Amino acid sequence: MESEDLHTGRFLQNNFASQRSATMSRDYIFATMPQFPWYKYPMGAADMSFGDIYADLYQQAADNGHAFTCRFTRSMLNPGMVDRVEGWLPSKQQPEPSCLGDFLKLIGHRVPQISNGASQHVHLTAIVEAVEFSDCLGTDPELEVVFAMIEASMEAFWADWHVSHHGGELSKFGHLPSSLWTLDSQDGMKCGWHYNGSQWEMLEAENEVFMNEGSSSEHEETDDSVANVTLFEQTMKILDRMWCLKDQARFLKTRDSKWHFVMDERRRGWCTPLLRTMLLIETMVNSHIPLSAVAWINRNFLPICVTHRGRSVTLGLLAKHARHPKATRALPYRFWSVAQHLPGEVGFGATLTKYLGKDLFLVDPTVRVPVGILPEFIPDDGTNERYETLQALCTGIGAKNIRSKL
Amino acid sequence: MESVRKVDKRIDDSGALLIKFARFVNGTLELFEDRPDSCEYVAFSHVWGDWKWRGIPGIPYEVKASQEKADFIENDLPALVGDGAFWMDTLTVDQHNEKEVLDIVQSIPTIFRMAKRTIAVRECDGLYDCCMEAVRDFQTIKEFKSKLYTHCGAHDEFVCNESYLQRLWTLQECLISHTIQFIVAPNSTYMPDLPALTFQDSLTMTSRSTQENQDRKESRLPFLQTPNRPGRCRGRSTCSSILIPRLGQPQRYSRVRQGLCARRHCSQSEQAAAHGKRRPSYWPIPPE
Repeated sequence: MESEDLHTGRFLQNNFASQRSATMSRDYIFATMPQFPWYKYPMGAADMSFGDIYADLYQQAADNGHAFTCRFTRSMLNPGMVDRVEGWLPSKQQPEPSCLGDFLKLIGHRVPQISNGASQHVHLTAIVEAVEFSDCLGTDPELEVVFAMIEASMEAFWADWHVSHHGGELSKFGHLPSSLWTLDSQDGMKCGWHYNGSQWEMLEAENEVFMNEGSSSEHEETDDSVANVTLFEQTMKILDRMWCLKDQARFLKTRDSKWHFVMDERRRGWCTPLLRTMLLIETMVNSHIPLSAVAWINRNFLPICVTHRGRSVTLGLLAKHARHPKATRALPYRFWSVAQHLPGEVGFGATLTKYLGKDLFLVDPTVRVPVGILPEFIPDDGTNERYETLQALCTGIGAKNIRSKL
Repeated sequence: MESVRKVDKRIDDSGALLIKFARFVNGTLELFEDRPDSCEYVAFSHVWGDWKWRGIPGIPYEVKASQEKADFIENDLPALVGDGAFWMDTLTVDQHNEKEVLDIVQSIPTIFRMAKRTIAVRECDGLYDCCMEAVRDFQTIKEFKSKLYTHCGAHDEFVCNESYLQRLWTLQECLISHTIQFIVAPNSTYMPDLPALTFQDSLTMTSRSTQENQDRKESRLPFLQTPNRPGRCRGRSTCSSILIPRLGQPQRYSRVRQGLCARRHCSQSEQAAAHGKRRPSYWPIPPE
């Protein structure tokens, strides 16, 4: 029917973790969209990339009253894109999905119209500060601090981790990491790390090939030949093991997740790249970003720690081109947290609440275009705060109210 | 804008969409074009599996099909459709013509909506004969789940994923269809002389010797008797591991399908170096 789209019914929720696959990435659009009369097969589809087809889908949906939020905008991937309308449109560079669940994670919430700085449903939720992990945790992060951050994420975004594990995404490589694993220097290079003899350093070159996903390395966990297990695969195994222990503790209603077993198993093997990759994947799970896109995310984004009024709030992803110059990189970034406040409500009776704070972006206040992604950490419960529309803020109206909250 | 978006489709003089259908005439397949809203036909939804170009008796041209699908087309398809019209992508779409393959994509919703019924051809994987035997005579869903769970311990060495449920197109074809008939492709034969394995059996297996367990696996698991059985590792000449995908790790299928076990000495590069040839891209069919 003309009135239906992917958000109709529970198709999106029921298949959010689906591992159903297709041969080509464009099939995820061509297999799901032609059932809707308003979607037309684009001309020259054979020569179009997935990003082109996705952008075409985005425009067709908006033209026919089925607009949705895109996850990765042009301003995030193109440093020169600072137009306040075009910068919010989907980038032609999209991570190619490997299954239906991956594709559905690229489809944001349904919105009344295309989102940009002038949209009525786009609201400023907070002014936040962000720091890079190297400044927040140091060049040699402490194991206990990293584990504490992961535990906080698992508790705050329990449903997302649950779906990722049970849907086969986080548990793709199992939950038995090898205690003998060490980071191979070549694998480290591919992931953007260089060993200078005493410690691992992050590569700064933009043209390096990053992150081998490691899906071709299939070895038994008890096999001694662990050298072919990539950084990504080992990280997933560790996180999945941590999740399993956490889930078990929750089921048994104990506070002790017994993560010390995980720590002790590898007392000597917690290198900086491993810890940083754990935080990167943690951020992706929190933000509903498909884990199959880890290489693409690692190439284009940087995990950051977001704070509000001095308190750590959540982890986010910042576009690498939006980083400060190297000389001033130690200074915290100042961004707007911008969300879609959607029409409609969820729940019923006394629990009826509005859709607030969905599809959060980090917006650069100087150019007013998205430069990063935040997880949906704002609760659905209504608050007494008035959220200014981004448009009102851009025109100066309401800015006084925002400044008073700093 | 409308005319720009429409690609070149086959249309008749009245502007209606024309689709290529098939029917059997005297045991031979013939193709014809007709409008989907005026032709009574059956649509087939299936997965391709490990296909290759092959000739099939009764089909006047080469098609892309796995061995199981070829057997189905030769032996079972004529009985299912009789002399009626049907649509099946491997037979009615010229797979040599890339443009035709791409163009049919936009017509898939129409084809499956207008069909008299959809026949969903499941592969003989997922649940095997031993599973069917284990849940025989169940009375309630609770009893079914309990019996299946008890039996699943016998499958802890390999994946019970059903391939029909792993593909995206089959989901869409089922969602669009108004009437679906499920059938199972051949080679899923019942083997009454094999006792159903229980979870207790799998526990006692660990107390036996490795060779004994290996022998019991080979003789008792019906999965290994089907044409889909993975066979033995073809990596090093001294390696004789049985190739069994691990439960919960479906990605191992790709390695097993290449005829390689998980051990490092049987890695792809070593095999290529040892045998001086490219690794195979299809599932090795075990010799009779």
